[in-house]
Amino acid sequence: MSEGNPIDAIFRDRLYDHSMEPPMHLWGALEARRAAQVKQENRRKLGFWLLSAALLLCISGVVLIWLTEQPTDSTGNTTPAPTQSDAPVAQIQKSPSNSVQRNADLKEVETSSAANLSVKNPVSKEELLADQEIALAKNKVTKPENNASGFQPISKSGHTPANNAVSTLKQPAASLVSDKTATSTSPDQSTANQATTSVTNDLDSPISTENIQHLTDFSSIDSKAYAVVYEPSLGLDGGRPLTLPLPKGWRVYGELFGAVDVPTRTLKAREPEFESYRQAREQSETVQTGQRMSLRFSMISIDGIAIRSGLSYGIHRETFDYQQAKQNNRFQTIDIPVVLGYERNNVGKFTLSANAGVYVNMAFNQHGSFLSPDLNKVLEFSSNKPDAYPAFRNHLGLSWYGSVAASYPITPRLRLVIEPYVLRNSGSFTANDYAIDQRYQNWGINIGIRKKINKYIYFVKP
Amino acid sequence: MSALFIRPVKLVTEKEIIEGCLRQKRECQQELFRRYAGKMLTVCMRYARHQMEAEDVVQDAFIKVFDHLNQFQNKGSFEGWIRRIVVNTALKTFDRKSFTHEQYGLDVREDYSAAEPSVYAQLSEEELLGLIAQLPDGYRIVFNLYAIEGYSHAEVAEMLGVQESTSRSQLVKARKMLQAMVMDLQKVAV
Repeated sequence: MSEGNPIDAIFRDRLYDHSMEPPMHLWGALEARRAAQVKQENRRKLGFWLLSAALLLCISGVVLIWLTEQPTDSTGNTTPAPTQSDAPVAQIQKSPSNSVQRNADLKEVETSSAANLSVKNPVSKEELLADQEIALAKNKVTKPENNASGFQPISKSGHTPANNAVSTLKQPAASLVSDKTATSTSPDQSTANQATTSVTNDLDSPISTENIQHLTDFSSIDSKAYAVVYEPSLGLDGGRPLTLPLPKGWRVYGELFGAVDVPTRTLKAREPEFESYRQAREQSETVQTGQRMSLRFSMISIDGIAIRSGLSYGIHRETFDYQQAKQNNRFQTIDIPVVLGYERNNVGKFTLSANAGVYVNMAFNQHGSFLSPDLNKVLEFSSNKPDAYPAFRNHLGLSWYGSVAASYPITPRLRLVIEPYVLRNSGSFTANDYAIDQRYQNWGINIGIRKKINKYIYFVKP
Repeated sequence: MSALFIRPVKLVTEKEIIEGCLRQKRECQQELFRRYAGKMLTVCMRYARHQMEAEDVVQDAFIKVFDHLNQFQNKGSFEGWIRRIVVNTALKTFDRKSFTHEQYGLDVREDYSAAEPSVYAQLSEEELLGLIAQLPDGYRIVFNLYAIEGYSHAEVAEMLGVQESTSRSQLVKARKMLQAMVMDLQKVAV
């Protein structure tokens, strides 16, 4: 320790607790560095979750493909894949309580009078036939030759009148016709009796133990008839599997654009005392035109609804010119467009569309120089140098996008697309603690080509 | 001008500020910075070669303070805890090699007569800082650690990874250089 030395004591007394005024940018720079740290950490976490989600999606996709692949028999013919509806049947078969309930229902039917049964079903034969045709057309599955007698009402009745009605409607046509010939319509019947009606109509004979056994016997089910009723519609065409959950009839296009981009910049002082600084920046910087490259995929429905996404890279320059200092400032962005649109074909040879959506900023890099807020020196700003002045944000968030487009066929498979657009940032380019709020609105024209790529998307079995 | 970016908040106690910082509250972090940044900048100015280096050290040190605030156990002075972080951060910024190379071969003028303590008293804090800044890195660091921060030679030697005798000799040379500089100032004034 230096208790005794007078020089030490003088320096210690005068300087130990001495406080200087910290420069104005120190807190801003510190906060920007901390924000960058947090963002880097968040980015790492986001990357991890995105990777996990992508892996999960891939695994799910592989499993889905595997499940939708139909097994082939020794002769090479395809057989219907087991469907989800197996489960309830198996459950009924295994569950003693269901069997007991079923017996009770059937006994109730036995005691019902024939007159009572004749007015149970309110649906006409024609209606049922029409419904059946629609169901068959939707599923595009071969109509079964035989009715799996007694199977369907049991498998779908679920002890509720509503379910019974549904299951009756979904029966194969042959079964329905025979059922309906024995019934007549009456609008005044009670829903409580519909269950007994359905069951009785299907059985159409006195109930015996054998019949009950048959009703719960899974092995007696005609798998084709079963598929008609329960196979879920995945937009399959002739039973062929898909790898994308795209509804039938959608077209997929790949689009490649280059654009000339004209940014208009707005500088606004965050505090009135920075107004002179804003003016100095306006005078010392000139905004130049920019360029943008985009790779986009468009999925378009029959109705003309378009969903567009992809990747877009943009760059624009500004010239900084102050006394002896002259530099080109660069601002680069990588964005993911998420755009919805409406497209109309055959307007002459043209296809016209209107689009709106957002650009999600993935990366924002900037590099250059400008005047310091105290106007006494030139500062370097950069997203890559930790020592540079942290005036700008690391991510820009969302930008709003709007465009109209016209495409024209230049070859049978290729179309020329011209798409004027406007892109507006939702927030400031600059950090919150920086003196100036700096925003852009970009006007530009995408010029590029579009090619239909449906065949690369679908996996169609020969 | 610093108030342009730092808007003071009315937080009464140091404990409140610390708790707020632990909950990552921005205004509390700002208040902590506002309270201690001035003093810590002076500390850094004594160690650094120039103001920009000092500002970098202050930033690094406060980031460490915010990151490791949960390690402060309320047993000593909070300011002392921050100061230790600042000093350690300042020391780490110096290349130890240059420090070791510098400790030898520097000639200290012997042709001075010791200045009276009253002469030092006439100098402002900025002038005193200016004198320290003129010292070579090794002298400056040892003088700061021993004379101003109050560390012993053993502690200084351990912190810098040098012999205790090196710390002693550097301190003596630092004092002599300071006295010589003060005498020069006196001559100019006369």
